[in-house]
Amino acid sequence: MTTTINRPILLIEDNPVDIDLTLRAFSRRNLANPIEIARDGEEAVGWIARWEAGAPLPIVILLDLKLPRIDGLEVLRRFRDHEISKNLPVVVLTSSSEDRDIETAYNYHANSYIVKPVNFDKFTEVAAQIELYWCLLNQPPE
Amino acid sequence: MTQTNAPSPGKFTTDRQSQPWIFALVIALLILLTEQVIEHFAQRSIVEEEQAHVIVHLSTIRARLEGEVNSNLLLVQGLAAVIAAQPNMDQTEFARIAKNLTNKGNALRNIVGAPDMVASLLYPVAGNEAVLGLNYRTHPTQSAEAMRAMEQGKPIIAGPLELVQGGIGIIAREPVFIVEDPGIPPRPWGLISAVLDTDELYRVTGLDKVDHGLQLAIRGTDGTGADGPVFFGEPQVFQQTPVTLDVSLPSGSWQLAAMPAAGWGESDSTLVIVRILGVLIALAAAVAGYLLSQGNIRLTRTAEQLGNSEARLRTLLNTIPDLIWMKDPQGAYLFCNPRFEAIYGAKESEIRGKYDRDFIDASQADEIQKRDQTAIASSTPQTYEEWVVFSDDDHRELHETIKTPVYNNNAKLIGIMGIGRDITKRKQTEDELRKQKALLDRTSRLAKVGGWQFDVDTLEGYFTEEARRIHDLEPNASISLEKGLSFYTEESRPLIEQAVKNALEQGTPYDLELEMITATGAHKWIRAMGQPIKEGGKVVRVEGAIQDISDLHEAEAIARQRETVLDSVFQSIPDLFFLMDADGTIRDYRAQQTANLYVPPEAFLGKRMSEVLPPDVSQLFSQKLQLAFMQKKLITYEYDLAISGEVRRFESRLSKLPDSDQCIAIVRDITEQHHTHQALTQSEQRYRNLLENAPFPALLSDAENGTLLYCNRRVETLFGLNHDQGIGMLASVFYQNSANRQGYIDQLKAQQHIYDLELPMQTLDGKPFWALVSASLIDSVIFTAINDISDRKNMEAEITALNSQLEKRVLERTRELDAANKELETFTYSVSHDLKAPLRGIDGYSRLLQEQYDSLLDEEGQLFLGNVREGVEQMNRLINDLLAYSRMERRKLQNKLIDIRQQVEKILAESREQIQATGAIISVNVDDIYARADLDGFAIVVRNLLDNALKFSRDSQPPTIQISATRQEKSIILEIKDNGIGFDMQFHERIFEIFQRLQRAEDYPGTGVGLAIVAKAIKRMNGRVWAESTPGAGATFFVELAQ
Repeated sequence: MTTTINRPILLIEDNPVDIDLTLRAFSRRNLANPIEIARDGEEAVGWIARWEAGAPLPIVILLDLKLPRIDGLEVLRRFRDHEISKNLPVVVLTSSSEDRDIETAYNYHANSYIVKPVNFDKFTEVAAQIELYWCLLNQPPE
Repeated sequence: MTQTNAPSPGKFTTDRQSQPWIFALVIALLILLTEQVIEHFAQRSIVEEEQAHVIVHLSTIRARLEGEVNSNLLLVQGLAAVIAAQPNMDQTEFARIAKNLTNKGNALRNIVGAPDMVASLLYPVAGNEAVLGLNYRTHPTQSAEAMRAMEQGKPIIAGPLELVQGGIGIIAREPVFIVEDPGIPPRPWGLISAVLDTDELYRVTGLDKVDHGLQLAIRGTDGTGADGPVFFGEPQVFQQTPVTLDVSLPSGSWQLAAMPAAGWGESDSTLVIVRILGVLIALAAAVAGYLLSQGNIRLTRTAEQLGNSEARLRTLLNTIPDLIWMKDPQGAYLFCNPRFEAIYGAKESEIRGKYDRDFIDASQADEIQKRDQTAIASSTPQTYEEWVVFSDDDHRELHETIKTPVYNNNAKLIGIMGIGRDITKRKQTEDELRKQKALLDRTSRLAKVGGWQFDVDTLEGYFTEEARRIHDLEPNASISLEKGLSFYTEESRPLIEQAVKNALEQGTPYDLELEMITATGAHKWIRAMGQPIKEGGKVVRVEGAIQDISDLHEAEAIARQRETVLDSVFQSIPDLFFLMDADGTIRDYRAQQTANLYVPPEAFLGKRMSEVLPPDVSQLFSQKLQLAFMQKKLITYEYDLAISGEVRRFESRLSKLPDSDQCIAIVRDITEQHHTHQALTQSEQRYRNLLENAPFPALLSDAENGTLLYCNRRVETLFGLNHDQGIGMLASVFYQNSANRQGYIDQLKAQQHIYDLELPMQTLDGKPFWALVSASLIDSVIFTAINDISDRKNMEAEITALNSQLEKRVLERTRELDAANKELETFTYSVSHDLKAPLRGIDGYSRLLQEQYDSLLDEEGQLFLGNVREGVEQMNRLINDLLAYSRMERRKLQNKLIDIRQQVEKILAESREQIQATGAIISVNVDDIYARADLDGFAIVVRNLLDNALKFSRDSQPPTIQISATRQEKSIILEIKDNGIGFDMQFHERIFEIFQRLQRAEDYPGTGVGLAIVAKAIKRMNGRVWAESTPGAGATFFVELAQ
């Protein structure tokens, strides 16, 4: 448990408003884990090399699907292709509620799929639930 | 003269000088033997011949006797008839009638009439006066017979008897009765007697003639037959097995007997001489033997006597036509007669001492020798038949030869004697007889006529061979009357038994057709004829013939059956049948009696056709009848006949009967057929015109050889033919590719009809065109209708080209559309993300303002921020609804069976909170039914309709929603009914369009997309949705989905 407290959350999100609101939502929860941010798909994929180089693995990855450069689903696919990241918990957090997106995400072994609520109160609630579940309840792989 | 094979003393020798006694003995034996043999042969054939000869003569005499007696009796009966009519006739009248009656009589001496049995009427009177006054009641000799005639009431023949007027006569007596009243018995008048002079009778009948060479005798005085005394000729004739015949008389009979005047077999004078001489010579020989045995030998005298005897014997031997010879035991000739000399063509002196082999070839000689030895070995005379060739003229004779071994007193064999007689002629006669008998047998067998007879006393019988064959009896089976009758069937036996009884008791002949079962069980029809034979007034036997008429009977049965069949045939068919002679005379006529035009047979039978037919028809008939007889084949013709004022048409078929001068006619009323035929002809003409003038080309062709049988005008125009040019032409010339035609014919044969087949064809001069062909195969003739569709084909080609162009364009447009759709999808996708992100920012920061800058904003500022967030909320709903709508349009649908009740209840459970919040009462009445639809699509539809119902009934007290579903024939209908505000039916279609709202947003918030999603989902599930409403009275939404 001691290690998980220090492991970061990787937020892959391009929209600065969404990043700000997400960080605010998490900050309201007094989250202990650091939050790493990848602003596009390419940057997200770049994390694979960093993890392989010894960077601490995230306790959970929050992945938006609509990303510049590399699409979120593609990012997920690449994570799953690499030994280092294939078992990392990935929660898709997106505005899309398209059946096709949901289906594809799970095909790439997403661990969860959450639609971002527009209402900020609900969004805060979602952040709380994520933190509670993925950072406290869930036992991630080493 | 010395015997060559050295005779010893005491042995037989021919040396007359030394041992004349031996010779005498031999001669005596020889003579006796010869005489017996010859006589035997001669008598056998002669007696047969004589009997036949006697019968012929005797039959003639009998016929004359019966004729004479009966004809005179007839005269008397005629007179009796006259007297019965004139009982008081006087002498003058009697004499006048009698004179007329007796003119022709030959033996008739006189006629006497005796009223009251006293002779008072007489003709002729002269010479017969003594008769007058004779009282028949009291006359000593004539009374009995006269009274018998009166008692029996029948004529009788009396005598011969001594006449009152002198002389011997035979009297025919006729009793006369007078019938005065039919009610009372006839009164006896008296007697009429006709006296026949016996001498005259004998003379007239030829009995007294001596030149017939017969000894004749008659017995049976007063008609007593064989039992009566002999009154003519010698009584001993009856003791010498004469030929006898019965002379039938009105009462009883006489028996006539005859034999040759010289006795049986005595007519040949040679035989008489043979016999007398033989006896004499034998006697002489015996005397000689006697003298010898006494030892009192007066040799010389005896020798002289013997010499005389020998001379006489020689004469005999020389004249006898038979061969006589004697050989010693070794076969050397001892002597022979001159007739024998002719065989070997040598004198006796040359033959004597020689052997047969000295004259004929060795094999023949051996054969003779063998027979001689056989006779010697048997010690008795042996008879042979041998062909003998006379060497003088080489003629052959068949001889019956008797070879007798001869022994002396010491029983020592002294030789073998032979006597040969020419039986060539006898043999020929016998052969002829045998042949004739065989012929007779065959004939009777062919005719299947058998003969039989039964003896009345013994009831034993005799069947001829054929009679036995008819009964299927063994040749040797014994026959009795009882057995003979036993063969008849139950039906026939009483008839034959009665007939036999009548024959036996009353002498009645019979002739019956009867059925019998033969010894081997075969059924036969026979004709049995029986003739009782009387002797001495009573039936002694019954003779008869039996004929197998089974074939005839069967033929009659068949004929009867044919008759019935013929009649039945013409009872069951409407034709009339006539059998006619060559002149048209109707001999038989048959017709159905129930027919309307039935004419009874008497109208036709025996009449000529010319009598029953009107002149014109009759004349036609005569011509045809003549033709039928000349050509000997069936002649058929038709004619009209007015019957009961209506002209009817008949068909007559005349046919001469083979081997007959008759002709049959079968006449049939064909009026209806004739009318039909005429109608048919008209109809055919009509159809022909129709076809000829048909507005389309039509033709007939032969399915087998493909030639054209008919073309109408349009075909001629189409194919470029002159009138009638097409007929006989091969249809294949009009095909651009003749293989097409074969395929077309094959298809036609398989299906009988072809409709609208398009074929490339060409005209006669090769101009191609497209033909639309329809055809029917009718009895191997093809009826084809053709249309030139070249114009249409050209247009079709254009259309096809246009179509392909069009398709190409469509393909292009579709591709464009696909790209557009793809773009739209991307657009929608982007909207879902990119519109929501700023909204989330607006809402998020508004919320943060509310939270963190609460104290800096006044009440109005707070209200503004609240409105901002409400707008965001509205915008978010709109986006979600649009996405849902878009998703509904794009998502893949599954087609599954959905349990309607289960799904409805599931959706209600999900919406429980919302429902409870409105306080609505929801009732579900859904049968256990299933619909075929997409599960999610269905849920979206129901959820939206439920939302809709809840929203617009929120002010009802309470809101009530009824959900029900019913099963239709092929679909189900889901009904969701609320008690809300409803809508004006003029908007019942618009409410399903997107962004269409009937209420203000502040009253009933909504995006205007819900029902559009429902419509879109239902449309994609191939269902139907509609709504009914009255404003203020609630609305009902219906969803129809396939089962």
